Amino acid sequence: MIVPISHVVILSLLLFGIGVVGIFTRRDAISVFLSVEILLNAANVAFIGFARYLGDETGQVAAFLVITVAAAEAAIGLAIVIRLQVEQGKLSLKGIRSLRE
Amino acid sequence: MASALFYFFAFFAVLFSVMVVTLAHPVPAALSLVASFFCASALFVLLNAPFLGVIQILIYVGAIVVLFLYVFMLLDLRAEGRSVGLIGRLNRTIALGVLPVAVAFLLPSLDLPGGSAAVVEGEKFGSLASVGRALLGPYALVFELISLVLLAAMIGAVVLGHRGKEESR
Repeated sequence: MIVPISHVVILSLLLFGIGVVGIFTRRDAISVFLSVEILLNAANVAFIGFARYLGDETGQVAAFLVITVAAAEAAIGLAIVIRLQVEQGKLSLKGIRSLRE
Repeated sequence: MASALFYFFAFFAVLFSVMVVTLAHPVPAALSLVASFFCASALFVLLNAPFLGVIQILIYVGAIVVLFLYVFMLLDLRAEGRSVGLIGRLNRTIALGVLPVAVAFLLPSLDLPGGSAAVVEGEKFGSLASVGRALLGPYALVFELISLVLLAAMIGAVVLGHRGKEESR
């Protein structure tokens, strides 16, 4: 396949930008977590694109690690979201400081 | 042919990612995240990473997003109430319409320095065997450490959930 590396990087950049916009424009915790998943996925696209470009599997190993970290982040993040719901009855990120003890 | 497929899936990956960000209710947003991840896994397969493509579907779509949807059932979910003015609606339409089309139709004709990937011959690059050899060879320590991260996350999630139970009593 003949896709230039620059196109893969631009695609990754675009997905990353969409995720960043999502983080800064959404106000409930769940939507912010969904945007963070887009960010991690954008990083994976870049990793795998460069792995192929350089002919080196290190990028694929890094993408594997990113997916694992995303799983850990989802577990912790959803636990925090449930705490948020228990504490204040809604999911707005404005009250996230109430979780601090 | 394969590069046309790349731009096809890139189009839908960007389209569904924009939908994740713009949809007001979290459940359709999470479902478009699933669609976006499917397109990304197709991109991974096209970029010689079939193992990552399968992992993407198994872990991301099968575990993480399903976990999200599962937690949604426990939560009191409603669409994010926000005043969407004319400018907000305009921005949303522009993002939904322009970004994916730009990726699908402008990107292929864009000529930037860097060139395309070197064709790797010999041992099949990105095959399960070679990725597994890298994971358990030079990156064996990292591979073991990442399991520690998962363990820490598991303990953290249990602690966070448990503390909530004690306080509500």
